[in-house]
Amino acid sequence: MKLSPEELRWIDERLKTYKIIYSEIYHEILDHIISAIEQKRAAGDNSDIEILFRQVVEGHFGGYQGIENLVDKRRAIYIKSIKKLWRQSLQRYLNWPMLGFAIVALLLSLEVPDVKSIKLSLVVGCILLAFSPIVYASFSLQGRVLKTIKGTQPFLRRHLIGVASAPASFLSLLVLYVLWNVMDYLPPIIFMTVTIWFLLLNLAAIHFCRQFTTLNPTAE
Amino acid sequence: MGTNSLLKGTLQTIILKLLEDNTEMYGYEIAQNVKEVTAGEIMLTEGALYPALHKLEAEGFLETFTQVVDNRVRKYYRLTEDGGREVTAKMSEAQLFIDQLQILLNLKPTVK
Repeated sequence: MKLSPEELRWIDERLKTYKIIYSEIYHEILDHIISAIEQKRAAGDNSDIEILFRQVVEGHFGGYQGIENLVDKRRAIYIKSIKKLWRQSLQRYLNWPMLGFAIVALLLSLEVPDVKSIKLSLVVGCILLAFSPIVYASFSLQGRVLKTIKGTQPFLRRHLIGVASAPASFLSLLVLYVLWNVMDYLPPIIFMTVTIWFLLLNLAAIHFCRQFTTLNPTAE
Repeated sequence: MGTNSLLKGTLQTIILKLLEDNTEMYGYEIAQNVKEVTAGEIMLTEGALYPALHKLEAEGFLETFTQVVDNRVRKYYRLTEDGGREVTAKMSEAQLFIDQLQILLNLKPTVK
């Protein structure tokens, strides 16, 4: 038995007080509650909507705490999936061709002159490699992550760009240290090693963004 | 309900099997289906059902899509190809477990 628009609005407003921030799980719980109440009404229970709502939330979900646990579990599963996909993306480039490329690049770096301009070029390369995944993730993942009921995408900021910006975090520390302290004393091979590391993270981050899908982040 | 405490290890199997038989279902429908098929003897708690569905989805055994039904968003689950293979594996596991349990509870040791 269908509920009236007023009753549906009341349920929606009441459920919003439960602070289920992610729209996906919010709509799933909302649909469940409405379906259960509709069935109760169809079975002849004409109790007030407030009583039926309380019965369903307490009986099916274990009340406010039960719903909160459900949301926490969903978030934990989602984060775990993201981390798994990031590990898979890194492993994809930890292979023999990459190792061969790294060896050749490191050998070449032994031959280049030990001058500041070359070291600075490599540092600039690192910066580009580190920040390009953040820009890529910001655009390519729009609309493919969990949204809040207000339409914002905290997962994009907190977890996905967080993953993509990991290289930048490392880089910040490294660059500051190198630029201000020991650049003149380090040989180019050190800078090349760092560049290769950032190249690896960059490729992994881009692969991660391409593989990521909203509802099944472990698509690979 | 006593039977519910025995369900813990078989919840994923039940969900996968139901989705194999019904193609696509939403959360409430799954819970109701189990209740109806078992004449109310087994009732899935939503606190266990939804995390199990989300885990199966994250593992790539289920895929989801949404439809607007009566002005609200309804999320449907269906098996992926991997999910289809997993049903067979889980059913075999469950069958083996039931057979072993039957032997144990009937106290009829097998002699090889």
